Amino acid sequence: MIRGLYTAASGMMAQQRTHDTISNNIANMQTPGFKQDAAALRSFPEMLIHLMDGDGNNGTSVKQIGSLHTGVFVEENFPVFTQGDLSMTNQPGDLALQSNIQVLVNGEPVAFDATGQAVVNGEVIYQPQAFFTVQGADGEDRYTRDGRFHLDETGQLVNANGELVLDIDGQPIFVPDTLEQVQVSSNGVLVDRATGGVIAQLLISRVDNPYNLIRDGYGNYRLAEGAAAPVPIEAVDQVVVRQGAIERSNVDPAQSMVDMMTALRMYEANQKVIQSFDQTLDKAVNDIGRI
Amino acid sequence: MNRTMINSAVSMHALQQKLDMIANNLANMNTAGYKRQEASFQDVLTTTLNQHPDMNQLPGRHTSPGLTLGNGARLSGFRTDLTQGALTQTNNPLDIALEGRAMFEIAVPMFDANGEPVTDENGDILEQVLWTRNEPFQLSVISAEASMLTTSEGYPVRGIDNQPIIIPNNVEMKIDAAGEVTYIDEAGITGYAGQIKVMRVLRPELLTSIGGNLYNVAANVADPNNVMEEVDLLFGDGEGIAVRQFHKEQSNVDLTSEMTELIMVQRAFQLNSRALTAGDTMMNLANQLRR
Repeated sequence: MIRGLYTAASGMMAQQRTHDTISNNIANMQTPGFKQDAAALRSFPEMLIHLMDGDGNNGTSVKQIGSLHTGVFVEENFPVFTQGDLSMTNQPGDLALQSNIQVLVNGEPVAFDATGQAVVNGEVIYQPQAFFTVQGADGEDRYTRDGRFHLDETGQLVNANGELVLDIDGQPIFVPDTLEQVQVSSNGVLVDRATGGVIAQLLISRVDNPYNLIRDGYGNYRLAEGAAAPVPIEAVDQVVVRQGAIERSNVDPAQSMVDMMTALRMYEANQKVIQSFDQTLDKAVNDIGRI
Repeated sequence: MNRTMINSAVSMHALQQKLDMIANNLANMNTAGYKRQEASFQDVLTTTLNQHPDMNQLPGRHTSPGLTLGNGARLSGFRTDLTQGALTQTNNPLDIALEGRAMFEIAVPMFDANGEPVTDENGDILEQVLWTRNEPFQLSVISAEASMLTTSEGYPVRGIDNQPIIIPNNVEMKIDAAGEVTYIDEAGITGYAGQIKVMRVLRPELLTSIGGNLYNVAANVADPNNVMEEVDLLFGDGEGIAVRQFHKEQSNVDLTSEMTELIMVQRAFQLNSRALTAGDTMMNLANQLRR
């Protein structure tokens, strides 16, 4: 059978998945705290081709021809956790995180690439990321970079979904008066402007391998099962909370447009391959043997 | 199914809503006491596609098994920006502006779906309590001797005793910073007409604009007292809140920032429509596989 027909079909499907991912990035170009997804393609596991029964030896292999991949699929969509731009809103409940956590190997800081990875001594190291911690509807912790918070009816700090924002002890944060009275320091401590008293400290979680986070929708991430629990950030982590600002989405519109065009044209190229195989089959079926 | 088209359609709908909101802000640039509306975006529920067990834990993979796919963006986090608008001086004694995050309380008669007034068991028309920063107010004549302080729609402005403020006709009305209404009649005798009730806004996110510069508490609020708090300006309550007669509050819409938002939303809309077109092209290519 013509193997390439299926290979080209898998190419079309993979390009469509890639295109879906890019269009979701474009859709979330204006979503605060959104991290763009990158689609990783992988070829199907390779197989070894043999010449069989070359000289009538009853189906035994006589010659190795070589290895062959039979297609491609989208293996994973992984979020790219680069810092988004901060945009000022001057609303007291809007908080943005700026994080650039360094990892030391043998006392030297690791230089991470644009996707937040580095290879040191043959081992992949991921750049840790910082997140606000909120309590999801199921009681489990959720992690988010979307810091648009406000007070609910009883004075508890909640995010745009109405989920409780947690303090350093994992408890809800209760603000006695209005949010205008609250000043948030760069290390995430909520201070009463009038009295100078500390109200609470935000729980900012440091996730050492951010790829253990699964996108949950509505700005939230949850931790994959079995992953190491996040720890609160420390002073050395260089994570800064900015009040009156939001972190914009880190989607690059120009790059997305280029990626989208590439995916579309690759899709078209694979379609042409299928058409060409179709013509080959047409020849085989209709033309061979015609007198 | 082609997810690209769903993603783009969902987020174009959200962007359209945001565009409408910006248009409304711009239209009310010269509306006295208007407070701009704002909203932001959120990524919609993420689905995780299961992958073949042999394919979901290949070496080199970053994330946990499954392929996460987004579904576009939606508009979220609606709120009224209660930032103070600029006060301009006027010659109209009924131009009564508020300084600070506060509102006047007014009583609006309730009507049922058929336009009939809703009455209690005594036959009195029930009133709904709403809030406004709208000026100018006006004096509605209720008898040959007296008038009532109302909004331009004719809804009575409430005093601290929850009763309308009644002022004799043909007098000079004066309102001080605490909201106390006094008058000097033709004979030069000073009289006292009451004190305007001023409500401090505790939770601006839980207020909804219902049009005509009127605000009501959001539908999910159990106790309006958690959203609005009465302040007695005579006793030094409500720091930074004052009633200003002979002043008009301009809307707090900033043309430059609204136009910037408008451009960004429009470009995002354009980009999404391009993604939609690309999705359409892909479907067309798939349809043309068999010529």
